[in-house]
Amino acid sequence: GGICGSVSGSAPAPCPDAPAAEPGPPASAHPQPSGGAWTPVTEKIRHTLQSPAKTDSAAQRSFFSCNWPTRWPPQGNRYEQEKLLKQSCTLYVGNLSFYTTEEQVHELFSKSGDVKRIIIGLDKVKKTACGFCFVEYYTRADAENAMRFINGTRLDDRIIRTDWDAGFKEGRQFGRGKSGGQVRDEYRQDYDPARGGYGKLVQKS
Amino acid sequence: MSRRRHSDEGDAGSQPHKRRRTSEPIEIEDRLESLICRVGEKSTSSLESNLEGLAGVLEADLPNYKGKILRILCAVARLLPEKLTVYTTLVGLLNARNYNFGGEFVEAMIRQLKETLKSNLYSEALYLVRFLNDLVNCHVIAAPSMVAMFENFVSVTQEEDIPQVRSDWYVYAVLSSLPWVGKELYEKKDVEMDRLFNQIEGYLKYRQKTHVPMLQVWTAEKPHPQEEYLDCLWAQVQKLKKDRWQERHILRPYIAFDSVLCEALQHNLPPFTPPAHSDDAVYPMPHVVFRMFDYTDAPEGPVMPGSHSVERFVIEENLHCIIKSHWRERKTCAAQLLSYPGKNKIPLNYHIVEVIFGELFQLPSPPHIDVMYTALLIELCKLQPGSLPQVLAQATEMMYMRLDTMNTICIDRLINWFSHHLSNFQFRWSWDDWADCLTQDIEKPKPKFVKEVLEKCMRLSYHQRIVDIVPPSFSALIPANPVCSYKYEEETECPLPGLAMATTVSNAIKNRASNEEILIVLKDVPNPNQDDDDDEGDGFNPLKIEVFLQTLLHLAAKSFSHSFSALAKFHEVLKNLTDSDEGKLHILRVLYEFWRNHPQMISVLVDKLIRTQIVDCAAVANWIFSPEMAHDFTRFYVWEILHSTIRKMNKHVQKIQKELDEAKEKLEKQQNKKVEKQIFLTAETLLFKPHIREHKDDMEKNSEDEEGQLEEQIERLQEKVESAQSEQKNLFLVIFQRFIMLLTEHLVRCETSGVDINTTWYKNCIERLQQIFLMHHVIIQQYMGTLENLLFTAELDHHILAVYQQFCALQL
Repeated sequence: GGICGSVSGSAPAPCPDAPAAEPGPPASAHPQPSGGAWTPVTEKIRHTLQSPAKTDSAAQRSFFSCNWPTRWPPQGNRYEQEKLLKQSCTLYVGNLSFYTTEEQVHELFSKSGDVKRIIIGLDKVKKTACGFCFVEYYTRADAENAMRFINGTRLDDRIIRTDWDAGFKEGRQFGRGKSGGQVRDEYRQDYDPARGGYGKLVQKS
Repeated sequence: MSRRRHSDEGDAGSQPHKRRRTSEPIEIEDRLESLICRVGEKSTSSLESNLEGLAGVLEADLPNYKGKILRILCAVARLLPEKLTVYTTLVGLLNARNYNFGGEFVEAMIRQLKETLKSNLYSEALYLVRFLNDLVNCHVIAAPSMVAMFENFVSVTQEEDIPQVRSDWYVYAVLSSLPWVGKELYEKKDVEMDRLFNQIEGYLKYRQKTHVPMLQVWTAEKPHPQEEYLDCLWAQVQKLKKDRWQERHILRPYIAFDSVLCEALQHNLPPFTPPAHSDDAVYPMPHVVFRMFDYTDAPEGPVMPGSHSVERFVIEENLHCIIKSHWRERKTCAAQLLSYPGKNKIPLNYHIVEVIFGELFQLPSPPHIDVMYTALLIELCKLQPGSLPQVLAQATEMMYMRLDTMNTICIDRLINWFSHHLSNFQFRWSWDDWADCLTQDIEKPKPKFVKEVLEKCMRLSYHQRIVDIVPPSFSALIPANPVCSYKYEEETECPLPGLAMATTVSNAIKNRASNEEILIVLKDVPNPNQDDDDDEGDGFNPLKIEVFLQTLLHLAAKSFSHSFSALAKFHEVLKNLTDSDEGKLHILRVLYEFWRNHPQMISVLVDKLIRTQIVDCAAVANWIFSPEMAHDFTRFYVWEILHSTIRKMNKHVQKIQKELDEAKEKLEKQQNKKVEKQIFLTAETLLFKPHIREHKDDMEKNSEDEEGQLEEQIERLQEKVESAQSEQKNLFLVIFQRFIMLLTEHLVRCETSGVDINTTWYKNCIERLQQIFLMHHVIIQQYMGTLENLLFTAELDHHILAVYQQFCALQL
């Protein structure tokens, strides 16, 4: 009876929604709820009940399974990077229109707290805005709220994306694409009037 | 060989691929947690069979995991109130199978209740009380013992010298549990319950309600009165009683298990004495029930329960609980709200919109950060694109219609919400529907609202966009193009004094002059205020400030970053020019003159000037209340600046206080270490370890030095804290003083000319005064004594004094 009997030897089957439908070892006795991620409610309970060992193993898990950083090459060694990100008050903001101003960014991101500074991303050659920026807050909590409530909403009619950043360093305000803008604008195939039209590769062909 | 990545098996990125061979306790505990937390969610099986199954699983695990199971169940009782009846049923089933476990659970809950009350966690305590009550329905707790607990709660109303908010909470805890358990308690103990009811009625009749006007979103009684929360709940419970406790909305899974549960043995609650009042107890503030819809507003489909129906109470409670649990994850929160059980019997979208705006407009502050509600409403619109946007539009329209009686603070929040919301939907709105505002005086609430919304919309886009989105008839309400006003721009017939200097300064800056060089250049600027015999020329010179700042701002006008750079580069010059209070005030005046069409720029520059200590907070307050700013006194941006200034002051005090506390802790640790060292250096050691004897004196001296340094540091920090607190108190005194002067002037003028005091300006101003109290109530409460002695005395006009008294009533 109970759960003990079913733990060992069960294959990682895709987990249906239902918990045990009948007494005895539930058919889907699997630590993984459907959809992959823990529901936030479970996170909340988990946080309340957590013992130190669990925190470490949870951190370890995310370390093993983390996605490759979206920017290449990764800076510093990965462990250092993870640490910086967890303490950071700086966000990278992507998918901006080339015409979006610092004023607009400031207005939007001030909704989650006082903004310390904004650094608009620039085309390395033209020194004009090339569609990204960094937003630094005074406190981590304010940056977290931006990640929760501003990430994935619109600025200048475009859905913007925010991500934790390890911290601004001189030189990082420039695009790293060959033509001077962002890498993504080198290779994209679509026509985006707010980001210089077609991708650079398409333009050259 | 296939080149399958590890992540292809199972879900990527969420669990380690390593599979454990043996069952470790941690895995099982995770599983228990997951099973318990997820019961009641959408499932292919019925809730009843899931509960039955889970009860069986848990019962079997009790021998090995009882402690863990107890902890999880206590946690869900406290943290998942929206699933109350699911978990009470689960506990009921467990109790039926294992009487001892039921007893232990009840004991654990009582312990938890005591803890939460002692830790000022009143909303969690409330959920625990409700949970215990529903356990009566599940035959876990005997009804008479619950009634006894209620009697102890209600007897708090007899305590002397307690704040009203204390007895309020205990009465609320009783009343708010009755929708769940009223029927059962009345069936078993009607005489005692009636007695309790009479006591409560007596209490409610005599309690103070001075605080109510300060907390109402609308001042008008129609169409929906903004009732005090206890009054509303009392009306709802009375109606429920009249209906013989027939309540059909709450989901009660335990009914299906009645045959099993009624066989169970019940436990008696141990006698529970509410913890005594202490000075550091912080009870919840009273609130007003927000209503904006009634049954006439939902055109088709299910009818909205009436304002005094208990169903309305339960629905609102549950929706608030869902938001409280899930506010950090907007997608989950939206999904949870929309899958509310029993949603087919109610106009759910209307309830959700009402509850969300109720929270957004809650006074003093919303339970969660404002921007969360914007993001949540957007998610809801995404999930219900065919119905929710229409309800939201209807709500917006209704709120526009009622702007005349809406509290100014709530209008601010509405402006922020609406403009941000529009910016996510291409600013599409039927502005023509609001053409009525165009015929009104521009200071009236409706045109003012539209004007402020357009200004905020512009900040999120650009000027031409706003021109494009509104009909031409709205041109008077379009914000000014945010360009600067450089006074030394053109050659005019009569050149301005300072024009030549401005050009010199401009050139100097362009040639990368240093701070010293600029100061030397500025020495030649004549002082219009000065007497001829004053040679020094170091006093306050308004022309110097104007020439320098106008020129500097002009050169740096391109963007925020340019202006910030400029202020940083010439910090020394600016500090020099603003040495006096007059200097600080004047720099703000010049800034305003230059950027008067760009309020956003003014805000960020004032922020920078404070943070770089070029001006102080009191200067900003004095500037806002100065006659030159009277013209903009009712504009939203001015109050954003003032409140941001107050917040900076508060954070500054907190920061130094924290440094002081940390230094004190460090000293305490040092002193403890010293004692340890001394114990180590006993005579024995000294006798047998000669080298230690030698170094003993050095060691002692070192630790004494360190201690001395720390003590010095603590003394310095103590002074710093006192000085910061003094500055903070002074800031509030300045602000309140200025308000009193302005309002008194108005009231006297109206009285002498026989005019009604209730002008648009007056409503705005008095509500702005309220706003200071409400938004900074924690800090202000520290200075109540001074405020009462110096400012809010009995001689004050009663209109102004009323605001102060309402504020005091919030924590009485």
